[in-house]
Amino acid sequence: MRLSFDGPVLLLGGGCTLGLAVAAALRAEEACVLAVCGSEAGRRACVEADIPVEPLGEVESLPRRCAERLGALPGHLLDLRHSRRESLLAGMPPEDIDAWAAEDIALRARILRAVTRAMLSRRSGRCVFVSSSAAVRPSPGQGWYAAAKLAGEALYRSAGTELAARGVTACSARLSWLDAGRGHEFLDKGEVARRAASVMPGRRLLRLEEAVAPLTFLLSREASGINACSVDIDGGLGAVKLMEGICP
Amino acid sequence: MSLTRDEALQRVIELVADIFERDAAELHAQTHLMADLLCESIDLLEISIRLGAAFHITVDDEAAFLRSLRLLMEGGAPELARAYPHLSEQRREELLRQRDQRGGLSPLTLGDLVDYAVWMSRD
Repeated sequence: MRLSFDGPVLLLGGGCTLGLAVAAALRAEEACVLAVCGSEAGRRACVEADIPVEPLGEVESLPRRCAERLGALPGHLLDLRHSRRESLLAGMPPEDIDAWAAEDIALRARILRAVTRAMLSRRSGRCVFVSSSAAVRPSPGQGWYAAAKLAGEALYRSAGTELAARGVTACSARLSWLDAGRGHEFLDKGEVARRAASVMPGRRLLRLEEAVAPLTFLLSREASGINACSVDIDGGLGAVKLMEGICP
Repeated sequence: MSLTRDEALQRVIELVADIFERDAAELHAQTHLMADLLCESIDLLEISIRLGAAFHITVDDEAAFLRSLRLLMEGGAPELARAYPHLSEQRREELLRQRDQRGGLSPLTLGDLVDYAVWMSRD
């Protein structure tokens, strides 16, 4: 099945391993891609992969910058970005809590607002938020991460319910252990990876392409019926009882 | 050169006709968004976005859509003048006179949107 994309695809956090792989898959579907990266490393990775990239900058101007770079307002949005802020709930310094809320919740809300307003003006759009299975089953130390992911899911769910009548739909995808990016860092310890794999129904971790293909589909116009909900891309991990000490 | 009210009215009618899939010829300055067009919050959002794009202005929904009108009416004419400087004195008086009419529906008209756009576009 060929997938269709109506307008450029914005890839927030597109410089990570998963983002670069999704960008390649989107290009194979002849989609027009613009990565948006907050870090210099991410922007460098995009440049090396020959993917047009914009700094995060002032987020309200993202739709305009997309139109200037690619000739059209964004038609699709994949939100992969997230900070690396993790701590026990009572262990976070107060000032870091404000920064967490600003970066992992408020900034996401501002980006979604700006992009969906642009989509509303063209009456067409598709937004996908990359969440985590930890959003609903956080291990100790993942509380802040989980709360921000749940907030993101709620924002995307509301975008889907409020704007679907205007052709703009949205959903979230809950990924679990993936041997890429920060997942790779976590799993890059033989025993941890072995134990994680042992609780997966398939007895192995998800491969990168097993996340890339469903994310590419979810971003496409063909997936517009999947709206205002969260989809598990976790190999079935969410359906099984976890061993102590293993976190999703 | 400043935008004339007629030019602004034409632009507002065009964008509202497009959003509500109405014939532009049916619309005029006295058309009520709520009572005549059954406008919902999503429609107001779209109007706000398109108004901003059409007039190159930043739309304050609170002022443009007379969101707090009922509350502000408690303060009488001075309060309305402060909150809605884009409306003429005559229009503000009319709003005060009609405060208990329309069964609680917002009295917002296309003309009010035009006045807001012209006010925000002034040199």
